[in-house]
Amino acid sequence: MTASRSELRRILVVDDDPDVRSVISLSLGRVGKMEVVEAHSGHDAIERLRRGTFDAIVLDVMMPGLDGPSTLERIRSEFGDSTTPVIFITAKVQPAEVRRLIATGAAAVIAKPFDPMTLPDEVRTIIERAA
Amino acid sequence: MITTGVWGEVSVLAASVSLLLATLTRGRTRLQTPLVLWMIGASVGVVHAIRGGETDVLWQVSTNAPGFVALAVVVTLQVLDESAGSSSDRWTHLLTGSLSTIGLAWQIGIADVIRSPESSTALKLFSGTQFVATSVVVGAGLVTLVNLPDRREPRSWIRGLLVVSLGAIGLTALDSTAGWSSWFRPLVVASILVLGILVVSSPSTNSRATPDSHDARSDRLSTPSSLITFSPLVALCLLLVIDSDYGNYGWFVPAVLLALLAVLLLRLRALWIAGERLRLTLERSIEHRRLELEHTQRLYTRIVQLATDGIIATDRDLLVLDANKAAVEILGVPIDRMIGLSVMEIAPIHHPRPDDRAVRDFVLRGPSNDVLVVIEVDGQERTLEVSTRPLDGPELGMLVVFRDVTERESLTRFKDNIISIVSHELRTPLTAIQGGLGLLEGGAFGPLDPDIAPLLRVVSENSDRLGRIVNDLLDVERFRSGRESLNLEQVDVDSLFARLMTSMAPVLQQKDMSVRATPSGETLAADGNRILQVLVNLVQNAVKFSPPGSVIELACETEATGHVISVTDQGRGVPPSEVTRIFEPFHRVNGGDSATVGGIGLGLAISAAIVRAHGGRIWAGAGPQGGTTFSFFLPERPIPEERRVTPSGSSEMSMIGAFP
Repeated sequence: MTASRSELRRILVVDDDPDVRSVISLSLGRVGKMEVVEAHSGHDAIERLRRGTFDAIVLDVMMPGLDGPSTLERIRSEFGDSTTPVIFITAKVQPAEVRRLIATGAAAVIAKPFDPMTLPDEVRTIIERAA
Repeated sequence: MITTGVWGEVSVLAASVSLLLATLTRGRTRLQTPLVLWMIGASVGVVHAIRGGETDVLWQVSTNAPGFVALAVVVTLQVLDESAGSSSDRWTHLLTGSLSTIGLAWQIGIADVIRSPESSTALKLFSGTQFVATSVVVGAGLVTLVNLPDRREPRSWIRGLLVVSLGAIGLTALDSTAGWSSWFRPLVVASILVLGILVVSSPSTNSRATPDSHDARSDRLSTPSSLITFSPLVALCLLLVIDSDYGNYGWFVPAVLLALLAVLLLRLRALWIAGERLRLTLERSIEHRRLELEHTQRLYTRIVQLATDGIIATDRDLLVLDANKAAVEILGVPIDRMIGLSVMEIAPIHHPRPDDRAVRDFVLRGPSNDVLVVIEVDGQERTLEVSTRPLDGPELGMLVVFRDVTERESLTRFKDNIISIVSHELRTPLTAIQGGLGLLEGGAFGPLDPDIAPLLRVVSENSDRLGRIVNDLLDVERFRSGRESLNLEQVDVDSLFARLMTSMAPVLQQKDMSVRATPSGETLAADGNRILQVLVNLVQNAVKFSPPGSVIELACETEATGHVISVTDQGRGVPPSEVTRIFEPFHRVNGGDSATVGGIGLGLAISAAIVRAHGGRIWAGAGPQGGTTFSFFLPERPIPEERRVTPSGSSEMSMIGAFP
């Protein structure tokens, strides 16, 4: 994936909470001018990934059913995809928890609540770093 | 004549034997010498009398002499006892005095016998023995009189005079033969007898009775010294009887014997009464002690039984010896089934494993405190908090004290769940609210209506505040429960101060305040972000309570075992009664401007929790120029190897975007 800052980024936003999901979408879409696809669960995210590719995945950690880390594991094993950066978004930001999440292969961990005006830049930076 | 004479001699012998027995009961070896002397004197006299065929003298020697010598010995001993201060009985003094005066009178008569050319050698020898004996008696009596403990009192001199008078009467009685005053001798004998009866049977006449005279009397009555007091009297009376012309007083010997019997009976009765008294006293004392013991035992039993904690006493092999009611209730096992069981077998132990050596060690080693043990009671898991103590050394057994903390533990779990719920369920809507507000304020939807902007700011600020409260609550709980782990690193103090000043700049600016940091060049082993959080809290606190335009000072001092960082303000200070309580959660200093300074009173509690998590301590005190100094001590501690290379600041590069 080679992309420049002006390139249109396609982001998959996975969160079970519709409001948080829509705030992330609005932030990335309206502020970051990115193309956002929403998924309401881990399983939904896998369905979306079957139908298309993304520049990054913003993944909620605590979700009913398939949680964030399990979803990441499925993505890595099912699609053999080890390059798409996965950004966890979580309210638990204790150092130990962050270390655990990074160890699952995530590119970054973003704390909730986040600043919607700077989130797109952060996501873009992570994508560029991963590229 | 002969019959009566035999009566007399037998009496004398009986008296001598009684005297001997009485003196022997004292168990004094010094008695042996005078007794041997007496026997030698008597034997010599007897041998001479037999050779010379002087039957009368023989009788005299074999009977009177032993009596006299023994009398002398006893009186001497008594005087020795007196001077040793073992007795202070005035009657004893009186008696000794009387005897000695009588002895003096007797000596005059004896001297006449010795001087007389008509006296045979046997008689002279016998009289010589008597003379020695009476000399001892007289000497002892005089010593006693001189040593009267209260001789400064006129009354004791009157008593002394009485003694001498009594002696004079005795002298008259002895000097008189069966002639004009033959009736007098029995009278004197009777008087002395009465005196003896008084001495022996009425010990309460002792004017020196002490407050616990009852016990003292019992003691005296039961000691041989009274017998000794009495024995010379018996001997004396009998000697007087023998000396009398009992041909004319045939009725007298039986009368004297009867009197002696009466005295003996009285004496026995007194002894018996004393014994009874002693027995009663002892019984009362034993009963008293028994009741005391019973009372104490009941008290302790009650304390143990009423204790709400389960208490089990075991022997050295951990077999149950006894248990209190609470133990029976908590464990659900009746006491009779529990006794004899190993403390490990009373109920199934689920955690830690009962065959675990560590468990055995913990019970045996003692003392141990508040170890959580999960057991099964009636098919249900109960959590016990167990402490053990050796019963005066582990070889004697153990005391196991425990309480059921199942409810408390489930509450703790509930609280953990609540925190988890708060963490997720409260932060999720906050994320949506703050995110939405952030988009609006950030202009994601275009410029805002100027009328709406101030309102939006109020909403935004309050949602931020709510977010901080949630974070504070979580922080306090995590640190207090020890579930928050520290991210230890080498922290440069000066750059920590610099970060602090940068982050506090807007707040300081609002009140035209400044922070002055003394450069230290020190490095701390600490969680840099958490220590920064402590400093932010302390500086925020200082700003809240300081007048505008004042200065806050930061300093770091090195101590032997760590570092002390202090924040000094020029505020109104903390009342002494509050200096420890301000670190409690939700505590706020009363009065003044606290109502205007916001916050929910968690900043200092979090700071204290963070400092304690570092193994340090935090305190507040008056500043050097008024105001307050908040200080915290951080001990030196090793840093995990993998963290040594990390520079200060955020080591988690991947954790970004924390807001605000």
